[in-house]
Amino acid sequence: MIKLPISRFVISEKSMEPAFCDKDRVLTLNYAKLQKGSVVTANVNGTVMLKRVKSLGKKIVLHSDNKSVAKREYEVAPDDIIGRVFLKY
Amino acid sequence: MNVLRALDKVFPPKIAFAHCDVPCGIYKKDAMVTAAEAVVKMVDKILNPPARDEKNPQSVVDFHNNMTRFVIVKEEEAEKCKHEVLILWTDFFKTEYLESVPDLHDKVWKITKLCSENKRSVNKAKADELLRLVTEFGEIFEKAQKST
Repeated sequence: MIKLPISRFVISEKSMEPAFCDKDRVLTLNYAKLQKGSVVTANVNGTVMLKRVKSLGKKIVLHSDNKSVAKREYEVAPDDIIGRVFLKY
Repeated sequence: MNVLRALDKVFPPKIAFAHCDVPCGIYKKDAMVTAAEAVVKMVDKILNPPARDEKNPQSVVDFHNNMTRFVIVKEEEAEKCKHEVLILWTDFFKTEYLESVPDLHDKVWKITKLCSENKRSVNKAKADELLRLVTEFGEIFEKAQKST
């Protein structure tokens, strides 16, 4: 399936506070190079999630900023990454 | 930015979940009851202060230190109690519960006012009343939770 170069998302819930709060909106670049610390949207078990890249490799490990409510890490394949956040609006 | 917001109104963006580990929608009464109990305990401690030896400077300092701590904890726990009650009231209780508990708003108003009064004063009767009302509110909450 062909990906659009840019996507828009509205954020739900609080695991990425304080950088990204509930109801914030973001634009993602869907062909951007990722690096450790990038904030991405990804398909995680059928759900689109906003997380930060913890490490890159064959699998990409994602985690949350707000450790007081979300300590879990997610392993996704590179194909599961939708795009890298480049603008909050 | 305004252009993007306008675009969102016409074509809403997809939702990206920043999920918490604990799914939202979990409500407990324990925090507000514990906070109310702490207020009662601190009022007891302030009204029955530790002994102090006026001739011993260290004893006087310790006394003031302890009393200050009791007051700070009372202040914090009363605020926490108010916060927890308001969370249940605003986030958990739905309009339909007003049929079975028509005075729900009044109860919450009384409890939150009592939290403020317990911050302002050191009054055993008001602290006990706060705990009684919070316990009662907790029972109403549990009943409502079971019915859902």
